[in-house]
Amino acid sequence: MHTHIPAPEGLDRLCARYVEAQLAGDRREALRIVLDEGLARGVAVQELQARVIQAAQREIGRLWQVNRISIAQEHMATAISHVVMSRLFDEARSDPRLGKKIVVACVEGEHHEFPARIVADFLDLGGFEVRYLGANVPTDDLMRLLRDEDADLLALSVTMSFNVPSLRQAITRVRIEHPRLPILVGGHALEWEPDLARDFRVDTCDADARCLVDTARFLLDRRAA
Amino acid sequence: MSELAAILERDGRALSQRVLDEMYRDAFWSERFGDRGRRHANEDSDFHLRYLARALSAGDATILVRYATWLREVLATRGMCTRHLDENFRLLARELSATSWPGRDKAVALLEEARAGLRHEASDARWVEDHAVALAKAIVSHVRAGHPAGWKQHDARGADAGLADDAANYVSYVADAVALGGAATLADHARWLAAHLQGHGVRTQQVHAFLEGCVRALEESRAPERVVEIARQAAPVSRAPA
Repeated sequence: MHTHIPAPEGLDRLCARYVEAQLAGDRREALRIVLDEGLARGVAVQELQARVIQAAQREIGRLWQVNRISIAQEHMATAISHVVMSRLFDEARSDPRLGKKIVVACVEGEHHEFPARIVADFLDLGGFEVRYLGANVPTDDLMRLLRDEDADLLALSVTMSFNVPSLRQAITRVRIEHPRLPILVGGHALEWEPDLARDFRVDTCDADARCLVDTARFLLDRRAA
Repeated sequence: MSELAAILERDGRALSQRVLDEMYRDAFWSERFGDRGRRHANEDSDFHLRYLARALSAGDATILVRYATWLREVLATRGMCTRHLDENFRLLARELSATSWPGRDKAVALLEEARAGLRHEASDARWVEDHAVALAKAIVSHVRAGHPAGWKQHDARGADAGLADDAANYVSYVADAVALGGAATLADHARWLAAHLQGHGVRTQQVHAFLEGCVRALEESRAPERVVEIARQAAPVSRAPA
């Protein structure tokens, strides 16, 4: 079958139409755009996740900011992206399994789940065994899970700057109980505080699939050395 | 976490509520935004303090400045102007100064940096801000020239101060509309203000003089054409004498 991989501007158009489907509340159309016009035409899953869905979520956030859509519409749009992400995940072929486990969580108080979910999917498709904990994970519960899971790496997401104290608390406790566990942090709060990772002596990287997988591998290699 | 950040978390709400109560003495707030608006204002005040606390702990005003400029766009597209947010921060700083809380001077300095960060960067909007005082005075003069009598009835600010305040706010709405790239937010405010003023006993001719005065003030001060055009689009008033 002849396939046509859309050029970058083609992905931008796909994203714009995906946003329209989100705002119309049309889950089936959103799925069709991503699966039939994206995946079936040879676009990589990670490209669709980043250039269509993640980009669309940023646009949805901007539209809310400038009062073009309501909170209800924003939530509807995000719910559609969760459905589409699940379907994409089902359809994707992951890299060979690496036998390494990564726990991905939003810090306590952080309710913006979507960025962490994308990271979890990127890492899973990159061959890692992922334990994804979702939004607002109480630090006590995170610590309990880390004791049970024997993770190789912890990835923490923080979107709102006022949740940085939760991040600090989680890092401090993890350092005490699991001093050799590498910690990767990300999220919008780091855009407003670019020195945060350095100040907390943890690693960070762009929320880009290749960069995330490479950074995770690097951290695990460094730990093994 | 700094000591003051912890105090703000524990006791900051009472302080920020005092500020909001003071702002709500101006009928503008309850009449324009109602109970729902006050609930949002309460939530926003909590966010102001949380970001202030974070900036204190990090020893970095950038976080608060970025929050302020982000919030400005949220508010400007929902009927508030930069001057309102600036006033909120100014009053928070004043209330903080009046406490005996440790590190309050640093918090006040951070709020002042956030206020400075609220200055528009885009050149035309910045032009309006740079000339805001003169523009507001000119609007008041235009209204007074034809209508020397009082302004709003039942205005806690007093008639003269009320007119000056309404003019200064209107200029801020102009700057925000220019920064947002269109007349829509200013037109919304002009429509609402006209109805609000009439509800407060301001005669239609005076309302007319106010809106026309704004366009005239911009023309006379040789504002960038784009600024004048946005003001004209937002409040199309006839030039016939009142």
